[in-house]
Amino acid sequence: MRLPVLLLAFWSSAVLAEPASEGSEWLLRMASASREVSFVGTFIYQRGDFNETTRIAHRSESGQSIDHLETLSGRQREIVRVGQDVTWYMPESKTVRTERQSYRRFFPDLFGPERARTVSQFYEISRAGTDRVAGYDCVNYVLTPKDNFRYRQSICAETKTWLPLRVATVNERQDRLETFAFSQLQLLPKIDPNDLRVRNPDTSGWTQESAAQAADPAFGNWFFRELPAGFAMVSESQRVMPGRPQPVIHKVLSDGMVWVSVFIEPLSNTPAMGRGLSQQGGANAYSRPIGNHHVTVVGLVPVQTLVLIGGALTQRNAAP
Amino acid sequence: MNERLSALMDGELDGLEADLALRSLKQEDARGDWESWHLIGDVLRGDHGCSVAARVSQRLTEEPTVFAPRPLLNQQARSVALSAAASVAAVAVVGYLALTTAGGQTQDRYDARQVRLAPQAAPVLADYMALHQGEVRNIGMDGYDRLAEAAR
Repeated sequence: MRLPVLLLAFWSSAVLAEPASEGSEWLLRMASASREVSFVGTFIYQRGDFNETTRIAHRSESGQSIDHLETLSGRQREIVRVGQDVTWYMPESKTVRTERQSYRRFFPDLFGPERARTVSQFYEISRAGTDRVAGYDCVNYVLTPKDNFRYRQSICAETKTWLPLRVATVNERQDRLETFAFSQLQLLPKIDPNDLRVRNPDTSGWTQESAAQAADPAFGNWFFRELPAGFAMVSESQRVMPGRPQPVIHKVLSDGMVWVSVFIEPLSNTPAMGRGLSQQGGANAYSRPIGNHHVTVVGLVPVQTLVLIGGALTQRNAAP
Repeated sequence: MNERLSALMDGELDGLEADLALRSLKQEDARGDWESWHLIGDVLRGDHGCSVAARVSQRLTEEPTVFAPRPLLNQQARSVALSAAASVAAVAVVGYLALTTAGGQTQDRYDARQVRLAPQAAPVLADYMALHQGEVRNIGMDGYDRLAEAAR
């Protein structure tokens, strides 16, 4: 008797499950591409007058991804990511920082395949012609948000592999807010192991930082009553910052596609900041006091998203 | 009740009626939402008057959350912050919002009134920005690296 019931369960779940839309299929292919292909290249991040050039080598082999990123402009910084473990090398400040099971993603890895369906719930996805980036033909996909909690994204995916070659964030006025794009790229069957190694692996005498945070009771005191659709907390940590007697709590939220940081610190830590909106360094920010703390929400999202997140943050057992 | 709330936010209720509306909205933990919407309302009303406010009201009527009034104290604190910052350019102004009408795809564009922070907020915000961009998004590494250096 068991078998038919089980089969029925399978059958009904197969029938009831919402069929994957064409859009979510497209996103899934883009998200999977960076796990399936290997490449070396250079990409440029650009926003207004600011730009930053990064070299990347990426190897996908039997389900395991390894990335090596190195900045080519400004201060030197190298990043090695093996699976979900990330190590940052910052020679100028002589700091090496490690993080296990990191939520962080680096261009052109937009979001994991497991997030593709979720992301497609919040955007209308359409094809918008073809283009050529770094010598490769690509198809442009426009992600138009279904609500007003996020900005529009435009992704040009390589025609054969679906690897995103260019990702731009566009606001309501159609201003391009920021763009990641390959300027040079080689899709390769095999990557030279030297391309994946840090330049100077000797970090003796460097400051070793671990992003892993011991569970701190302070975290539990802050929660979000509700969040704009699709957003969830992906990380929380505590950070010592220059000139601050007390550490700063840093929570990170994401809808799979975009990232929002929430910083919380005691009022005694900083000069009085007041309340309001600001824009700096390529992102929007909303600041407000909550009880004896100052809260700032930062991200490249419309201000109403920041205001709602800041408004939903609550301190448990706060003194009245 | 939602209509009352909208009217209250738009300043159309006064005296006893406002008092009654406020009293029925005494839900301490919903205060943040009220403030949020009020701030958005403030920003929207800045340059573009009634039609935008009406849209905010419409949004409010669709919003299931119960709102609570903003206490007077915060209002005062905010005025101080605003006037103190009148001459600060370091913290540029976002002032930009778009609202989508329910079910529709129409996006309207509004430049908002400038809402400013205290002048001393600028360096603190710069630190946050360096952390957000550098640590979360892996961009603007110079700022992030300098912050790491300064922390010791």
